[in-house]
Amino acid sequence: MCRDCGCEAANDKAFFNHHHHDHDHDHHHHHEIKTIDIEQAILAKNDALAEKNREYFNRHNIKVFNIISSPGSGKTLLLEKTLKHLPNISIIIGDQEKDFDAKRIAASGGRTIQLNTYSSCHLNAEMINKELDNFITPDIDLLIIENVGNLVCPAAFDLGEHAKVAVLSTPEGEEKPVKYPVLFHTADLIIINKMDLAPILEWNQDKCLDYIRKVNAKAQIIKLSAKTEEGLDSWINYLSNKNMEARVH
Amino acid sequence: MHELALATEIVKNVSKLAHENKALKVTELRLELGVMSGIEQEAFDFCFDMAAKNTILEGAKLSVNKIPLEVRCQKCFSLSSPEVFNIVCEKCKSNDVVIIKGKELKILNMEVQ
Repeated sequence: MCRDCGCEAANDKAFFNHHHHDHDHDHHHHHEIKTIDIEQAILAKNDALAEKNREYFNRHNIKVFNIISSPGSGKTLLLEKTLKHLPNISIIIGDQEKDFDAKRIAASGGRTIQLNTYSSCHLNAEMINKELDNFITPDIDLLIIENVGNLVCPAAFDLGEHAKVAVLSTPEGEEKPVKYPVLFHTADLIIINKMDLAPILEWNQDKCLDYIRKVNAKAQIIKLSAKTEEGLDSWINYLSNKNMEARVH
Repeated sequence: MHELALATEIVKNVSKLAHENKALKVTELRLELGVMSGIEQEAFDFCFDMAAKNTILEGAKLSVNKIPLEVRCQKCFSLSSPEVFNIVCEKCKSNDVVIIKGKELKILNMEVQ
């Protein structure tokens, strides 16, 4: 409520309404210009919720991975194949619309839920927070979040995960890491998928690894083919590593 | 296009603060955006104008203080300001660097009437 005139202009919904501040009484507002310090992180609300999520995951010993890539890099097939080795993992699938991917995961016997972001291009901490004690229950050990296919926006939103996994596939070319440095810099693990296509595409591995190291000196790199399953064991070992330290932001 | 989600969030929070401070109008909003924040400024400007419509922020000037990347080398300990697509020490070329500045995504202050 506006403290000066008592109208409802100042509630949060004011932004969505076509509110015109017209009244039949006089106002006595201050008209001088003044500066008000705010000093607030724009993502403060998301980061606080992500921290709550992380506390929940740590309290219940749930390891959480946030997988980010462009659409079509093979995330869903990778998860279908992962389920053959680790059938008890839980998977959250983020997409703007529809539940094709969740149906694929469910058909492979996986415990899964589809979250639709509609007009939004990324999952945020609030969407994951709403699943605590719903889809995400204290008894699960491993949660994989397949983010909306997008190399830009999901990188900005911490979900409370322990590790960010960026997937890059050979048909996308060698230079994706330097074109999208924010994501590839933040990733703890970088998977290069569709390695079976590398010879056909004349995809240059050294060049790609060099580009990765230009933006991220430390990320672990796993080369695999979800289709042929070559290299899949490294990914399974990575997920099964119980000693992984909690990610510190 | 998460710029719209962020602009909406900013307008919501700043409107609340402006009303709490009995402001009539926000004339200017100052932000700090690092080059590694993942925000494209042109898209953000556009989204901000849309999000500010019919709020106390409508017509407010958006001033963005763009923060370049600054890294500290873990090998030679020098500070440098490389490009985001080549995050290496500009002095010794090592990629063992820590980002000190460039990830900012912050509302600094606002000017109100």
